[in-house]
Amino acid sequence: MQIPPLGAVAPIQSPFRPSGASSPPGAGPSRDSSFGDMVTKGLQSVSASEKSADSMVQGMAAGKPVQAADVMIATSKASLSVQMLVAVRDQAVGAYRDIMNMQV
Amino acid sequence: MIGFDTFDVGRSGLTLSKTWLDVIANNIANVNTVHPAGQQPFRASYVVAQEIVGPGTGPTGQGVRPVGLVEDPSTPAMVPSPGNPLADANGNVTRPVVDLAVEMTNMIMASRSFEANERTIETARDMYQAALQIGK
Repeated sequence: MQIPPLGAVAPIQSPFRPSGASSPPGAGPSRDSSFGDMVTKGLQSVSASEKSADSMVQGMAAGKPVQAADVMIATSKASLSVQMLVAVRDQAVGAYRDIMNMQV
Repeated sequence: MIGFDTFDVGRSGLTLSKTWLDVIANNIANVNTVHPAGQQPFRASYVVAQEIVGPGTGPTGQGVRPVGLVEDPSTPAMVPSPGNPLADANGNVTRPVVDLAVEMTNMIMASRSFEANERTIETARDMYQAALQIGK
């Protein structure tokens, strides 16, 4: 079972790169991926790992030969993915609040 | 960035340890399985482990997997057991080729192997959670 990590965090750095700095083509995240795309991708990844863990738990409850360790690993992956998503969301909302509370 | 690769590698180790324990349990369960003299005895099996090599194998590897079982080729002991329904004309039966002491020490190793692999997964989880604390 291959669950891709939430690698979507990388694109958040790209808007803050100096515009003159040229990144090698093909290396690093694409510059035109928006924050919304990143969150959508992250949500999809979290949803996939949740579904995977859910099916394993169901299989175990149904008496299928699923090993307990495998179920716990799948649920751990899902839990960590959610924690990662929440952490990214907290950072994003925090940045937004910092801007909104700025004195002008 | 810390991914979930360690989880999958550790899981392969857990699966191997579990397979190992299954085989040991079968060996121990058959420690008293006698056969009539001249027949093939029960032979203890041992798991053959091999590293996983695949198209996606990175520099850090992908874990381990059981590739098969080998049987103990030792010569079985013929012991007199008069009255045993399986005994031959001379009253002998063939003892199984299982050494209980070997199986018990292997069981300790299988148990510790499971714990060690579980610990790598736990450590990976702790590292991931620590990474999430950055910037909080």
